[in-house]
Amino acid sequence: MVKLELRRDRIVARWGDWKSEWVIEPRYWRNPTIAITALFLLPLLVQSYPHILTMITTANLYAAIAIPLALQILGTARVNFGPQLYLGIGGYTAALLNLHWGWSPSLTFLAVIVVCGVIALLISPTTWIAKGLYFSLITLILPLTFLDVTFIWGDIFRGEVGLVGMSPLLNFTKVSWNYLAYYYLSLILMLLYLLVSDRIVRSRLGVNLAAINENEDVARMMGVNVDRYKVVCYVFPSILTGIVGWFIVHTFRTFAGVTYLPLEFMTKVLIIVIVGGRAFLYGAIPGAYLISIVEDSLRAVGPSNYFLFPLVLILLIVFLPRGEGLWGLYRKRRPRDYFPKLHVRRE
Amino acid sequence: MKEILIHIALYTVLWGSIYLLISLGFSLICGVLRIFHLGYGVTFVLAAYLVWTFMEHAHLGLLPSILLMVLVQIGFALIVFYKGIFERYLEEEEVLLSLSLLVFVAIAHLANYLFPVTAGVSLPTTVVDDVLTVGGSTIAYQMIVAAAVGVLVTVLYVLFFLKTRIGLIIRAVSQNLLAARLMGVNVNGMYYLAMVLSILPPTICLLVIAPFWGVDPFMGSPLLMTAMLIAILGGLGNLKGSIVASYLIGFIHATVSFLFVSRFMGLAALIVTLVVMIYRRGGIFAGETLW
Amino acid sequence: MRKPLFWVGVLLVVLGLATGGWAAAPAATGPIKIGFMGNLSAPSSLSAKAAATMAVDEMNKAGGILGRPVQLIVEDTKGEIPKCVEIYKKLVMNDRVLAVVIAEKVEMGVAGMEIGAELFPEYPHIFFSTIGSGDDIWHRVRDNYKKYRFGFQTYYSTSTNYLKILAGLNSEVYKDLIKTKKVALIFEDMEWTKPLRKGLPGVSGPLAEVYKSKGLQVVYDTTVSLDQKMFNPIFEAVAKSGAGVIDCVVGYIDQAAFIKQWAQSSARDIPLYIWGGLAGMPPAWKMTEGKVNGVMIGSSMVRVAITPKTIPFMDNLTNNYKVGPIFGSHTTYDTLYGFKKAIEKAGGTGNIDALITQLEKVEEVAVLGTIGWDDRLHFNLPYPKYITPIVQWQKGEMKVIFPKPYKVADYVSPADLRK
Repeated sequence: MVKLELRRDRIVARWGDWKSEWVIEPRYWRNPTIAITALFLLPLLVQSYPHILTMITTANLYAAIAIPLALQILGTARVNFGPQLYLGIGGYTAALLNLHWGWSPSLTFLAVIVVCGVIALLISPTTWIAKGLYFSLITLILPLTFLDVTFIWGDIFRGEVGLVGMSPLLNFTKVSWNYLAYYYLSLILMLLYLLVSDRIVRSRLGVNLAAINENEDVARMMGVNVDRYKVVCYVFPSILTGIVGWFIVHTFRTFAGVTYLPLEFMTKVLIIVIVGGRAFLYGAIPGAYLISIVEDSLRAVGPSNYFLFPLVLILLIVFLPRGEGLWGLYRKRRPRDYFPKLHVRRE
Repeated sequence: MKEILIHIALYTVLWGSIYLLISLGFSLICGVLRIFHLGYGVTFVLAAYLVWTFMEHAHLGLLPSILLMVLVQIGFALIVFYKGIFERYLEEEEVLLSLSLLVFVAIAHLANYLFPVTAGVSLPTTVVDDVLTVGGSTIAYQMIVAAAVGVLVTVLYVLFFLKTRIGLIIRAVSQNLLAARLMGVNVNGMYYLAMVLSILPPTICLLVIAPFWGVDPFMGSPLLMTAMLIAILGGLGNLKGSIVASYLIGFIHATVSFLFVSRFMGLAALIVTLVVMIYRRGGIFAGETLW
Repeated sequence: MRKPLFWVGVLLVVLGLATGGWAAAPAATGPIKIGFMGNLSAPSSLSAKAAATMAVDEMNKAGGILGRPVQLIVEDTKGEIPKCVEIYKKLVMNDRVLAVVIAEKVEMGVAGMEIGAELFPEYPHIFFSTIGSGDDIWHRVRDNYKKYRFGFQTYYSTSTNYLKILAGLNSEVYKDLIKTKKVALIFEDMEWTKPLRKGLPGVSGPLAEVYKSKGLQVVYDTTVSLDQKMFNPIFEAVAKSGAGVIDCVVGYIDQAAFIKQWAQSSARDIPLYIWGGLAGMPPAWKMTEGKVNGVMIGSSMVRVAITPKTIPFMDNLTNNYKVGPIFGSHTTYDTLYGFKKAIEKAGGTGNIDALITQLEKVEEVAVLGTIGWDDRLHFNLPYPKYITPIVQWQKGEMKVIFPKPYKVADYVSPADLRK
């Protein structure tokens, strides 16, 4: 099945066409271990400020949306301007099934996977039919159409009020334990997404995706089944985003499309991908945390924070290293690193 | 029944011409600079609020305010958008799009902070304050003026692009940049000109529709959506396509409003655009050249 | 060069986290803390914030509540539910406020109440929604009193009262003042109008039916969406239907565009009655360049002394807090005063259930009449206890034309006003 080989400094796993390497040198794992430990110990720092815990839970969720988005952009070779569509679809699915049919969170989890997968499959032909910019525009318009639908079928979707009162994921006796548990769950979710995306990108599959991103025709010539990879790379991240919607529904327990579907939310997620650095997927995490913290700190300034926040973001984008964002601050780009170029217009 | 058809025809022409005026600048930038200008809505917001500031706080008259506002707008577009964003990030389009969007959001919120909805902003740009009763319907003269201005500006622009030498050069730049450069075209100068030309239609548009359109800090978004929809439907960057698409969308809106419930106007236009994009990819005139 | 920059960044992040909040001592005695949440980019929340600040300042100047000073903690939700949830938790768990006032759209109120229900067993507090319209908040109290009993809603009216009380008042206005029996209905497509369009099962039929039962005839009925900009086809159809009055059940659409287009359409001589919103605010005249002349609207922004508190409230708010009273400010101000009286009657803040009982019974003089809450359903007592006068824009000013005790001028048709 999965063949494992032990090399001098790495373990190689092969499964058919898919090859993945795990480096086992301690120096390689030092920084990631420090970072993950810090994230796990963060609640101890902020345990007297429970609202900060909610803020970083939200930051984790933003990162959890940005990571599949980065993977999707890489694999489909187009920029998706509407990742929040599947957030909405997943969220409403989970909320409606839970409220009207009484399904438990684990059942709604499966339902979200199925529903998001089916809808993504139906929309996936656009990845190979529509040229680059038109795909981006279609994805831009779809969430707004969905938002209009939630108003038109207000009986089901409850328009601007949204759906309220879904059952919680966990229920400990003390509320603060609930919030702590939600933080750890969101952290694990985000790290899981990061792990999966990282493994995909570093495997042979990832090489194929990079080839598709750079030049589809050449990739086709080299024998990469472009259409199949594009569909997989559209459906899989969509399902992951839907799962984030499921998580939001069962932790915040309210869900209104008006918060997640319009353009402002999309801008935030897009900025996270850009500021975080598209060079590597890891950049999404510092990007998400930075955006959340900047937004909250600016709140102290008063009503002028509404136009100061975009200005701060503009400054960040302009002054951080070109294209590498925050991750570029941490690590200089090495010559053999793959630096994906985001193509919006494709000829 | 006949009356409803007359209504639909009338409003198709009226609304189509107004939408044309809204989307002309957007198509121009798309066609010549090949950039999807997500910050296009800022032109409308700046137009309204700059004129208001000059009139209320600097106590200038209407015409001096308008002239000053146009100058400030040109400066803003050239310095902030062109030099600041487009030139620097032409190769990294996602950064370009995000920055344009952020600038637009920042300006809209600044306008909201300085002049919220309760400040009572209105532009006294009514040309004729009367109504015309034709057939069974009553139409405000201002709307007719707006439609006429829309048609006039479009005709002027089309004549400019078809009949003048500079128009020819811009069309060449939009068709094949490399060849145009080989022919010795000053591409940068043409880009400046295109940016300036793209500001004029939305400014004029806002000035004429302010008497019957809502003026508030966040009006840029719906106007941008309209312009985007028309540009997508007609073929990105194609003036011919924009003209056809504006009237088509005007027709859809009028039909839905008069025959069904006006609530579904926006959704119907969105669905038609999606369908056209799937079956005729690229829009109605898919050529990615200006004309 | 990059590595040090990175560690500086990490340091800044850690500092940012550390300064983000501060723990507060739990309040047994000491100041009474009230948390206020709103979308401070929206004029209504800003006005409500000013009203709340004014109420708290006045209370403190008068010696506080039961001798304890009142402290108002203001937070901004930016109109986003995740932020709302986060701030609610901060206010209740961190700052240990006694009451949370959400002065924002109804989905924020509902979200806040949900979180409040989760926190209530461990952190007893009271929840007030002062701008959220619609029924969702008090429906929750009705359906699960034990879980949601800490929630109270103050608004100008609720759909039950719209159907049972206000529809009757409107009919009076149409029949007696405007002298017409034909009504054209325009609804905005939002949740708060749904009970009016479809009816409330077990309570009342839809608005059209209620009007019919009062002797009116509904000749036209349509819906508009929130992002609509062009309303001409509707006015054409209304004019053709021969209506004598256009009843606009709207509050959140683009009212400036709506009115400007009405004033120059086929329906411009048919009186327009708007249930509430932008058109009832003083800047509406300037915003529509006078085209709002003749429009009737339910507005509480007129200088008419409904109670001795009304005029001082309006003057103080405008002069000292630099913001006009918009919808939401009256309800917030009145809610806080009602809360004060309930605390005084309960004799303290130690027992939350005693406080809830007092809130259900209290009646206090308010800016718009009398503030109090229904003892089972927790929405504020309706007309005639809480009044929103109907005004008409006549030549640049809003004049109250209904109800009779506060009437300042007679109704004049728009055609006559334009002469």
